[in-house]
Amino acid sequence: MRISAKTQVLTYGALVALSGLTYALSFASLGPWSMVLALAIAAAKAALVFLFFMHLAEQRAVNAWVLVSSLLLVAFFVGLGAADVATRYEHDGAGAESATRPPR
Amino acid sequence: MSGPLRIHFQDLGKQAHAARLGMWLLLVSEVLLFSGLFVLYATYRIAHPHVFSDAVHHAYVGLGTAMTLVLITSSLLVALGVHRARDRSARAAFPWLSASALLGVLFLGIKLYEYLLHAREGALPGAHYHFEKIADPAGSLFYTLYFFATGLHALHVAAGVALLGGVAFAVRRGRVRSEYPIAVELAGMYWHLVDVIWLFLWPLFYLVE
Repeated sequence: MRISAKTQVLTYGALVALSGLTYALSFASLGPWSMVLALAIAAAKAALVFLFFMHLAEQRAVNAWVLVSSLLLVAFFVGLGAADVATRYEHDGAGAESATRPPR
Repeated sequence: MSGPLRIHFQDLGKQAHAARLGMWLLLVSEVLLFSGLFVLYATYRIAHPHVFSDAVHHAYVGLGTAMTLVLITSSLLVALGVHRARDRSARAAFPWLSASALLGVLFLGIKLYEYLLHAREGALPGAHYHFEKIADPAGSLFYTLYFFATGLHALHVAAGVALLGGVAFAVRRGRVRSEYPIAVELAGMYWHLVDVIWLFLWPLFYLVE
């Protein structure tokens, strides 16, 4: 497939629209879902940039494998690091907060 | 060397693929570099949810959103420049690459202004932190992360501006062959990654309270 200039402009439109959506949602009180949604939209925007602006959709599959496998590694890195801190506890229940308090 | 084809490649298609794959490998190593900071953000935010929420509340959302739009637009211009280089001539990419580079400079200007605003209110990294609106010392964790993440990103923007500018002048001087404008594509790929990284920094530091 050959990505046309028109596709690029449409991709741009989608990126701006998704940015607007992210901005609008930031005013809604969604609790912990705010972060999940914001990151999901960011991931969708990143996918658009990778596929169309960076032409990944036209390129050979091995390029996509390099990208996807590295993103998987990042997911492990961030996910397990966060899970470590989120599941810590201390006898007084302070847990993660005391473990990461900056020195005075 | 008569044509762009190097001796160790069977044809230009394979040569171009090798160049792009090499660039993707560089880009994912950059992603790994930033992921260290994202891990820190996740762990510190889990540990100090209220301070982080408060700090994001005090962010300069207007400036952050402006920077997002500047980078997305510059990515479009680069993509169209690559298109021109492929379809017409390498030289045709010059105005597009230059415009993108200028938008990159605009981004850096806005960022610098924002850093000065933070400095004036004492929202500085590490031991220099003395932001009155967030008295909790965990505030310095947020702002240290903020300056490191956006600062490292700004360095990448500066490198991208230099790269785009360099390729822009190379195409103008006829140093890039129109039958093999890979340099334009590779510079564009680097710039798009810089955009993608910002697409994650923006919600984390400016929007999600």
